[in-house]
Amino acid sequence: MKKVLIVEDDRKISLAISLSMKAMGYGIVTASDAVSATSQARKECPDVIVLDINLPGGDGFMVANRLQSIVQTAAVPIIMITASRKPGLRERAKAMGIADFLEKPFGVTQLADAVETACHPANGMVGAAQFG
Amino acid sequence: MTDTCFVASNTLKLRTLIQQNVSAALTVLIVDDDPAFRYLCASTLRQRNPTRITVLEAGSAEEALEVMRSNSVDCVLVDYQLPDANGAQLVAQIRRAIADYYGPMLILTAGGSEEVAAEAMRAGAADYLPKQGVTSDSLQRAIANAMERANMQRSIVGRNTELERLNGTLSKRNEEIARFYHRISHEIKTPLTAARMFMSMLHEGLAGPVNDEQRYIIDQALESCDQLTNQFNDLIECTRLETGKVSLRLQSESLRTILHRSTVSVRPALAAKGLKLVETNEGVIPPIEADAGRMVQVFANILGNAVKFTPMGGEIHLHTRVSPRTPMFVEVQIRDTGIGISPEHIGHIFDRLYQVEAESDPSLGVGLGLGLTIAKEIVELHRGSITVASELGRGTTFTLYLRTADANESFSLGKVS
Repeated sequence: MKKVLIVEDDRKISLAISLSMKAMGYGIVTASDAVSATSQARKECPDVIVLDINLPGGDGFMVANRLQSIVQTAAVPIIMITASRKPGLRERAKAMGIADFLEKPFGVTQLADAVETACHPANGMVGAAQFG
Repeated sequence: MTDTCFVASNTLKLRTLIQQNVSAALTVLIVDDDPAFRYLCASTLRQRNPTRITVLEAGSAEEALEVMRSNSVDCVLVDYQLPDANGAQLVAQIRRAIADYYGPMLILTAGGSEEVAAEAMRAGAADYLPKQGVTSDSLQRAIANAMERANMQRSIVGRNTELERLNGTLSKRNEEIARFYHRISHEIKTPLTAARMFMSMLHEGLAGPVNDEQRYIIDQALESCDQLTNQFNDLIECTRLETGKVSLRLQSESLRTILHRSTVSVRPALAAKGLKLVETNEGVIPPIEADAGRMVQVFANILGNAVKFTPMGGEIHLHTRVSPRTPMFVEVQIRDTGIGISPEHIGHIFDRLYQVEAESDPSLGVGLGLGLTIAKEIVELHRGSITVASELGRGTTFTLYLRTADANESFSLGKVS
């Protein structure tokens, strides 16, 4: 069973993502702030991380940076999610090698596709699949 | 006779002016190395208004600056020839060193040469007087005139400062509004995201099987969520445009590609209403100068609007050509066979606030949203234009003028040659 770490500070959104991922057959672990995100990732060794940008204790970019610098978590694909429409966020994520970027609100299928693609990178491709 | 009258009334006016200005408490600084002349000036001035005029004296440029640093002075009389500087130099020094001095400076010339006077005036002196001809009258008059001008200048400076302050307050307010919307945006979107996710879980059957009727109901709810998201995004976008937060990445872009990307977004809606989209163009269309993503947004908004207001089976025409009158612009027309806009509303359809009021007018049907306001803002940011014409019951035509990519180049080349 593939394991997904969900880093999201809003309880309801975290619950919605957890329930739908669980229903689709994923194992779920959660974190709700920047600090526990890193410790959970290190402890649980997830296959993919769904990471909110707006977090208490530091933003998603900071968390992603930290995860990429830790040996155990460096190769785990990250999907960033955000309600912000500030220009440049998507580009910044892409430049960091983030696997996918979803703007809130999104549908279950959209997230499922992103997680699926991140877990199973396209044949022959090394590392995370890049979004457009 | 007329001449005499004129002189008389003019003198009268001058008198009043002198009385007004010199009758107010006044501190005059006399800078001259000759104590006898200083005494003469001082007594001349005091003679007229013994209680109202304070006379300060300085024998050199250095002394003058010192006096001005420690006293509030309203007017300065400067002898052209001082031991440590000439009058023009002192005038310049005072302007530089005494930042809060806005009063007039009068130059007293011994030779009465025009050249000397011109130099002093360039340095910032208000007027000049030949020393030999100084009388009580001429001195007072010169002071009064100079004071009048200085007061006017001061009030202009004051008004400017006030305007600058207001400007600062407004731009701070703008920032606050933008921040406020940003916060609200996050706070509204968060529960909306959760709601949409829970509904889409039901929709996908992740919480058990769903029958057709239930799925239809969930679809409606999901659609409302998406509407709310779009409207909210438009509101934020509008605010960002209006507060100058949007900057464009202008490049030479193919209009064809932009239009193609824009039409893709309305295809499903077109199909749903059985509308026909007819695309035509005249001749070769040069690339336009645009931020492609933003321009797609413009056309998607206008096309979306056309789809919304055109009844089943209608047509939308998209016609492109180089503007025959101004070839540095490409003209794009979007014509629909929709319900049209009444003359009383047409002047306001790009107006953000108007739409709110127009909501209550049933002739406008469904709310217009902010799409057209955003389209206009973006087009104008591109230094293009957008106009609308309509006939009630027959349709509406939007005409856009967009700069060709080489419009700027040829313009600057023209400037060089």
